[in-house]
Amino acid sequence: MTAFSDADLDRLADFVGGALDGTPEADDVRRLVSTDTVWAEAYASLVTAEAAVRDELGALGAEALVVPPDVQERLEAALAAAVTAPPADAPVVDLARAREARRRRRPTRSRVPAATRPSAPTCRPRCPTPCAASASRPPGAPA
Amino acid sequence: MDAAEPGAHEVRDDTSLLRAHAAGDPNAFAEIVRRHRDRLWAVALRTLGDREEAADALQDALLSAFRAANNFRGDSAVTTWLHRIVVNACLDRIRRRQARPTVPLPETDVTPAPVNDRDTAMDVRQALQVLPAEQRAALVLVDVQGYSVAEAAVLLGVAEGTIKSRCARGRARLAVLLGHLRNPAADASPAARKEGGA
Repeated sequence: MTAFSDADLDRLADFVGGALDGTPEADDVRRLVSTDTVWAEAYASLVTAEAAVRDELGALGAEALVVPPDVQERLEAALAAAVTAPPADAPVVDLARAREARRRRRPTRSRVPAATRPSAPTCRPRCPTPCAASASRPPGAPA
Repeated sequence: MDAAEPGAHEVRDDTSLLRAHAAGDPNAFAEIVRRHRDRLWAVALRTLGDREEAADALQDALLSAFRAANNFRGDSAVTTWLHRIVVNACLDRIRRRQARPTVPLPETDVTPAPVNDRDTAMDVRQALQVLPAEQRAALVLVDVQGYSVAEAAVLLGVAEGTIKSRCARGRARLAVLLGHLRNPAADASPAARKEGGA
């Protein structure tokens, strides 16, 4: 049995397909084909088989393929939408990032001078039921 | 602007149309697509082997070309540029889905296959889908669609020698898959073992 490894077949295929033309490797394969019976048989078989494969692929290419109507409609709709869409290089605002930037720019309470700080609602002294302002105040925070 | 004149697009070449599109003509790109869509579809369908995937790839590619028209430098024909975008979209899809594994050919008997082997051989479309993506794309362009090796090299962005090698190796594998060369795996089939008395 004429057994060829994957690597042998690839090498022989490269030789048959002209990928080794002008390289020293082409001379090596040529020498093997002319001196080794196994390689000679493999070469003859591959040349014949390769021609048959080319014919089959060529026949496949001869079959006319037309874009099916549903695909055509889909492409037209996608392109029509692209015509009316904003250009790809239009500035895109990252809303989350913009919100975060606004939050950072906004002065925090501790940085605001007491004089300009809005007065927080406070309970009356000895208020019997804590009001909403007292309830939302963190534990231990001054009233 | 001649874009408003009926039939004006028919006399403009692809490059003029693409420039018109980049300049804001809303109908120019559609005309380019109309001219080339069947060949682009054939490349996508034969490379991907799946109708829905091919439709997705073609849509992605055309939208990408639509938006990238300003980047077209005119080094190649518009059709070459479009084919390149479509082929790359197909290859991206194949890579993303991790493709189907290639058929291993550990020990290939390189002798002509007997006639009954050919009866069970794969259809050429199925066999193409078993090849590695790069070999498949090269074969679809050169042997199926009829591009020259040089054109396929431009489309795939590789050297001509690489295209020759991918085509040659792909054909050799197809020869086994299509039954033109004997595949020793067939000898190890259960039926063959039964006949051998194992």
